Amino acid sequence: MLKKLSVIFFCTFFVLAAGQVIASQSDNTLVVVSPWKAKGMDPVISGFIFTRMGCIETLATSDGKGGIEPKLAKRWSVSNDKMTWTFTLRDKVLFHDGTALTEETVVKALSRVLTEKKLFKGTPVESVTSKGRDIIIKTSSPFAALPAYLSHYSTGIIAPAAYNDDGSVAEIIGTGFYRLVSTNGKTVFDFEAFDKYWGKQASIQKARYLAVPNGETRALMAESGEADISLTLSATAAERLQETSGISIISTAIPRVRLLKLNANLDFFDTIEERLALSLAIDRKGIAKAVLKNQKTAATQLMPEVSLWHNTRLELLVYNPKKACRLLEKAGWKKNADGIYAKGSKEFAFELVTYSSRPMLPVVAEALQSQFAAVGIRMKISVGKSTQIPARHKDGTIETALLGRNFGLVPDSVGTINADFGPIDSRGSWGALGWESSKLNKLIDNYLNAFNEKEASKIRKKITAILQEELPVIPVSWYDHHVAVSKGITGVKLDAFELRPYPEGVQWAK
Amino acid sequence: MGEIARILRTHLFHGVAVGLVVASLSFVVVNLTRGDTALEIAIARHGTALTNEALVEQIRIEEKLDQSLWIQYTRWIGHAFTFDLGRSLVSKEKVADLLWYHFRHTLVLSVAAMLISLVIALPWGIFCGIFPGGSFDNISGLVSSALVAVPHFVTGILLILALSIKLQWLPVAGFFTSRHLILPAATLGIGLAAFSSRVVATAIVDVRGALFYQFARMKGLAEARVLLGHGIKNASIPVITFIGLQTAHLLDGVVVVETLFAWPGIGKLILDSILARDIPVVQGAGLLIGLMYVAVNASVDLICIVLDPCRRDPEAIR
Repeated sequence: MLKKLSVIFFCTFFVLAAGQVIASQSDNTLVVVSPWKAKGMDPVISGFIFTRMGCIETLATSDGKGGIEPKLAKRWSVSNDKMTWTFTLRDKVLFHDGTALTEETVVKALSRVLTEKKLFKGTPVESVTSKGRDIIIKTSSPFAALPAYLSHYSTGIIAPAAYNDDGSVAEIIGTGFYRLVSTNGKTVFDFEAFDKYWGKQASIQKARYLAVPNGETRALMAESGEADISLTLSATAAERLQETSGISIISTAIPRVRLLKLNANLDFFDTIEERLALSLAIDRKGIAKAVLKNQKTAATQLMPEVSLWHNTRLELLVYNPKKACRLLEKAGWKKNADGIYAKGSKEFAFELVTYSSRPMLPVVAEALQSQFAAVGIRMKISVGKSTQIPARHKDGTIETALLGRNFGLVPDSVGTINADFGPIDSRGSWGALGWESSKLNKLIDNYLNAFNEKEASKIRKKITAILQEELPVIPVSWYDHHVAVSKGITGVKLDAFELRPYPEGVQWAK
Repeated sequence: MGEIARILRTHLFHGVAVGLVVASLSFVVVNLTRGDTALEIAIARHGTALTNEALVEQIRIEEKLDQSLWIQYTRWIGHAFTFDLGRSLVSKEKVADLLWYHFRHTLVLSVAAMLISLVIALPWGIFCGIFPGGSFDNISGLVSSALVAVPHFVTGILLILALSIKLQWLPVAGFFTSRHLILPAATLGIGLAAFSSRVVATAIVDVRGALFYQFARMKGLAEARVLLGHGIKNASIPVITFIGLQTAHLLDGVVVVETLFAWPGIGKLILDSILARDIPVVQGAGLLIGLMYVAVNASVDLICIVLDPCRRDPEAIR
């Protein structure tokens, strides 16, 4: 009896399920899966989902080549004293609720991020006002990178009706080619094409964003055909899917770097020779090939090619363990009976802190540990949470850390460069510790004043040359972004800064 | 009836006490761990690239994290007694809404997993119990040990590879339709069934050895009739107790399964909240889990009373 009942139960279950599979396949929805769920319905904290899905827009955006191009602002200019910016808004732009894009709405959205919240460290914005269709932004000092900051998702513009009375955000009403039609928790967002969009209409009428935290599941969803665009896959999964029919893999370098943060207040790292010796002991290509499955990700300088800050004239970081040993000996270190460098009784031994939320970091740390051991440096690995790095930077107890640093917050990395290597009194907790260069500080000041690209480019080269020469942090590898794209769609282009929408220009394959 | 009312009263008192103790312990433990709550919240909200000291200080003041732990704790307790669990420090959503959203998904998943496990475990366990020590029972023991030992992520991936990739019958992940429920529920249910089948088998063996069962057989009743009429009902008491404990465990949330199938259950919410030091959510979840365990225990006690006359009226048996 029970057996009969169980057979009937399972048959019914599977027949119903199969029916629904057929139903969903006929539903022409572009499905994008990503690891990231929304943290709340506010562009300031979750705008990355809505800008990347083409739902909300910013005044400027990435041009895909490291530069900036207009979006909701059709043009911008700066005053002669270089401290007053004028952004002229595009006309005939409608929000998804049918209301027009007004100056007041833009001022409100920008003020929340630039003046009320202290979101961008070191942006000297004093006020955001409007005059006619112009948005006027005043800064306390020249700040050439301002348009780049206005491409960040947190500055996405939403309709007046999207705000609660207390100024918090109740819902997402943007101006993009997709309008948000429904949400399910913070992991599923359904969009429909907005027929009154000011620019080129979306070709695919429906789109869905689904947050899937597990990378292997995202890869399996691509393989089963459930996902049209599967973002942020591991190198191993990308390699496997490359062989799968019906899927193509797009990989792009992104301006995020795995780097070794050093405490230059310690005896081990207080001279350039010692830091260079450490760098020479790292076989970056070996790590990139064996661990990260892509030899091109070996970080021969801080910034990858995709960044404006990549410098083709630098002497690249190489692997040369013999030279590393010579430099350490020159710095007064001698090998002891255990084969470890030491000064008297003090061994060249330190702790490296890293974290597991970026899964490859502990593996890369182990590779570094063995490469350092091969030249006579002892390193102990401590894996914990990422927050221990700023906390231990603050109290000065950190010795070294291996971390993934994002220099692509906006297309111009000057803000992060300044926060990591700029003046110590305004420096953040992720960058260099115990190292400062007055020459570099001056160059950063000059860069912020450089409104001419030719001049800016020269300064960038000088700044990166100092970082390469003095190695306040040691770059290990760059990040790759692997995306699986169904062959059922065409037109997917990846922006290294992830500021342009994924579905932009995407259509069903004929 | 009096016994049932007494049990309900006792469990209600236990529920409130356990909930508050668990919530208080959650608060203490999260605060005892090394780290700065304001910094963790800033990173959870804005990521490491945007987090800076000014932002951290702003969050510290806005969320009143600069107040003493005692003040923060008493404020939470005060609000909890008015059924206000506060707002998440990360998303600013109401904790009660957040918990209900995730809990109801966990509840659906747990019930489905339990149903699948029962459908498998009952016939399997009963058959083994009827023929103990036979070759089927011996092989079943091996199979169930193996299934219990296999981690959920392995079972889950094998099921995905077979049913989603190879046969294309079921979706890999998500939670949009009932078909999305099958794989995560089966992943949990198979392991549970392996365990439950052994409990059912043992219970059946015990019942078949009992005097009342032997007496019924001696009266000439057929094995099937005795088993269906008396055996299963009596064997169900230890099974129900076991299932109750397992249900409570499932309702805690099964992080691995939730993560693998992108199922928005409470386990993943709790893990994320602990990592982000989102204290109101951790406390609220502690309270909910405390209450839930007590509710499950109360339900098990009530079912056992209905099934077992000795427990309904202990005096009558003397």
